[in-house]
Amino acid sequence: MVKKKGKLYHTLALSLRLTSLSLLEALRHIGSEKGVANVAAALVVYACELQVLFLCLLHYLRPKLLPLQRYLYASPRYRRTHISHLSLDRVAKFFGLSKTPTQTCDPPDVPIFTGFPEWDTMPPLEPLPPDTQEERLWRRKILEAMRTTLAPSPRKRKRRSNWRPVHCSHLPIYAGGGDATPELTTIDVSSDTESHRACSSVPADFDLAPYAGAVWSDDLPDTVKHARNAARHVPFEARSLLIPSSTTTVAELLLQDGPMVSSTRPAGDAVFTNQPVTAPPSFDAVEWHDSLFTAIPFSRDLRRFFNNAWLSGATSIKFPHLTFHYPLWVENLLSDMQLYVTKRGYWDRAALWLKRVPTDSVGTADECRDTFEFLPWDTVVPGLSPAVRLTTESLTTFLSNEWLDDDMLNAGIDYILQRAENTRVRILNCLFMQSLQNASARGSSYTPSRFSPIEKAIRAGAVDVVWFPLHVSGNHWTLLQINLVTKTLAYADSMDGSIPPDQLGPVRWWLKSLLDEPDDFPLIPANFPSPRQRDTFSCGGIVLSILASVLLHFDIWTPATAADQRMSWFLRLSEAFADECGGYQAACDTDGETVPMTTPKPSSDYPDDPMSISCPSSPFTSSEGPVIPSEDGALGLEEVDPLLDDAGEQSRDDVDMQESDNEFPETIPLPQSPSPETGLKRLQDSEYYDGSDEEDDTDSELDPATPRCRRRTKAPNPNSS
Amino acid sequence: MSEEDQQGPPQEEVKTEDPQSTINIKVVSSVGEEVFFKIKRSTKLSKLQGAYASKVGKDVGSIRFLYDGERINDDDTPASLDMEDNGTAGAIQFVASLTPPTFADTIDVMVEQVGGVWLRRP
Repeated sequence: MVKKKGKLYHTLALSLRLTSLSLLEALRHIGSEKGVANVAAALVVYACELQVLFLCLLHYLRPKLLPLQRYLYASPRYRRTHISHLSLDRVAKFFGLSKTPTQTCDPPDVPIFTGFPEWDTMPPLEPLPPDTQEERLWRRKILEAMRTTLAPSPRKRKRRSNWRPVHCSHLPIYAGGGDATPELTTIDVSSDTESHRACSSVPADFDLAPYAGAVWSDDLPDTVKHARNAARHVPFEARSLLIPSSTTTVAELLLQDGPMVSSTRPAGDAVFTNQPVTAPPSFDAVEWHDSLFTAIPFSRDLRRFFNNAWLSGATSIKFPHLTFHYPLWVENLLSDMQLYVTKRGYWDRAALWLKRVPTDSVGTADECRDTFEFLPWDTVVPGLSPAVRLTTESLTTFLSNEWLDDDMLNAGIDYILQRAENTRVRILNCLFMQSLQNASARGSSYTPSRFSPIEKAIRAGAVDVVWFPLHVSGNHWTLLQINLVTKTLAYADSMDGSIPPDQLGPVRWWLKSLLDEPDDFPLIPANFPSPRQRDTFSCGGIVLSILASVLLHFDIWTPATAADQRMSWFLRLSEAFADECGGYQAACDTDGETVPMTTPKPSSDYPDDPMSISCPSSPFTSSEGPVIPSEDGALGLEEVDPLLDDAGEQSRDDVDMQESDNEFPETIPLPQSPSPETGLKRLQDSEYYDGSDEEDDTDSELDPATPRCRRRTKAPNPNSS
Repeated sequence: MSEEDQQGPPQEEVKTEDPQSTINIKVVSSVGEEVFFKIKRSTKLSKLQGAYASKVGKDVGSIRFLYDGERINDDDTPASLDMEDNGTAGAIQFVASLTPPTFADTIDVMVEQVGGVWLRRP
């Protein structure tokens, strides 16, 4: 092969030499006529040609020293080594100029086809003889084995919950009645079918007239209910235009204009009328998008009176402040819009909170904003245990100064348990205490019909340490450590409180019954870090931080890193979405082009295998230290650093708490309930989230007179006392 | 071969229950209060959740529904959760409304817990 190429260059060199000789003669002739300068130019050209000849000679003698064929003969793609080349390729492709790489490889020296002399004379293939019965059985067995190993049944793959609420089978309390006279309440929800199915099943000749004026009740025939559901069915176009789909990413959501929300209910009442519908003709009309959001306060009234109004023949809805008569399904749409406005408010609040984090945490805040690019705004977080259900709406609480609820704590606990190496440590579900308290109050001993997996493990001695998150006095998260080796309890309260007896009692009662122990477990001081909180909202985060620091060796919570810790938990719980998308980084690196992000489905058919969730290549795990396995739960606790030095001496005066509040972003009031005097307020200004890293948040300040609005009204306001 | 494939898979467990049949479900709150629901096997349990929430006068978001220790999703139905009764389907249909149905499946209800700080009690 080399010789062949060498021959090629030899002829090339010869032809060059011949042409250069004739050229030189010509130049010399011109130079003799015109002057000396032309002769010099001719000499330069001649020297150049000699150089080319020298190169060719060099290649001929030492082909590897000067790989000319690589530069001359390689496919065009081969030389594309720079990013600008790639963009050149794209331009060529756009104009239809792209060249397919030419195959310039020499034919192989070894003739493979001539190696088979019988190739042409081979007889045609014969069909295989039919299977015997035995072979058929074997093949079926193999097929079945493959089916079970390759595609396990969903039931088998599903992770089961490891806890179960405690039931006391005796002495049930019936709602609405006492123990003495049990009054059984049975609510029939079987007659209501789903709306989408109902639409297809309404007969064409359905006549409402026989039922006109009747009062709605559950006894009405199914056809009437189906027709009612059909009347409430919202067209897809209307819903999709007013409410983003649930898989819309948060970044897209925040870039859209927010809905106009009315702070005060417009005067008058919305009424059902018999007038024909005169709604705006197209759904993208301004009357749909802007005006209808102001009608949300009427949603509750409309829902209450809808059934009877529909039975009496109403055909449209008239709002007092809007000119049009809207179709009946607007009632259904309004309640969905109300949910959208609420959840949208949470995300706006989170985006605003991210702009106000302390300067140390700006990097983490940027990561959170990057997460917005692929995080759907209103779905269920995948990959969690079946005992935990977390919506992305709950994730916004981590990007705020609101209190954490049991869903968020359970999700964090599930995150820790999935990654913890120590299998002799268990963490109980936050909701377990509720049923335990009730059972202990009414039963003398704990005798469930069957033990839950975690209780079986405790009884079998397979567990050393059980962590018990406690919800005390209705507004505070604390942590109880049950050490089954030393048979002691340790309590961690970020506000330095002592364990309430209504929590300690049930735990001791449960342990005594479970382990057949005669004595109560004594309460000893905690041998794990237990930070003190100086604000009014961090206790849930502290509970998670203690667990993560003991089991995963993460950094412990400190007052200075409170905001950082919250954002870290947001990032950790969002990891499942990053894994779903194949990673944020990978999607952005391909060829410099913007690749549309595939939004994950909000369904529940995710692999429940914990290994599939803890993807080590996730871009958001690098901020935490490596997970160091600890060999034993009891020993693992002692490896952790003792209490942080500043944690013990902090005084917990209210004054102190107020001061420390300034370290963190102020609690941001929800924008959907502004003060009455502000009137209409646009929820989403471009300043709330502009997608860039600009730090000017002067325009995004909300009205200081805006009252604080808690996310859940039943929770007491921590700043009020 | 293709014929073999069709015959190959083991017979799926034949579901004899009619998706339109109704079953009774017991909803037990964390303090032991019991409410019974009659629901079609194909009806989404979110409907039951809404009915229970309006019955006890609370927001659905503040109530946690668990079946066998697992959270109930919005799309779950009694059929998808394999809610079955120890007796036959017929025995469930005709539960008298005066005595508690003994075969009814149980859904546990927990109250939402939100916590941020321990305010000292008076």
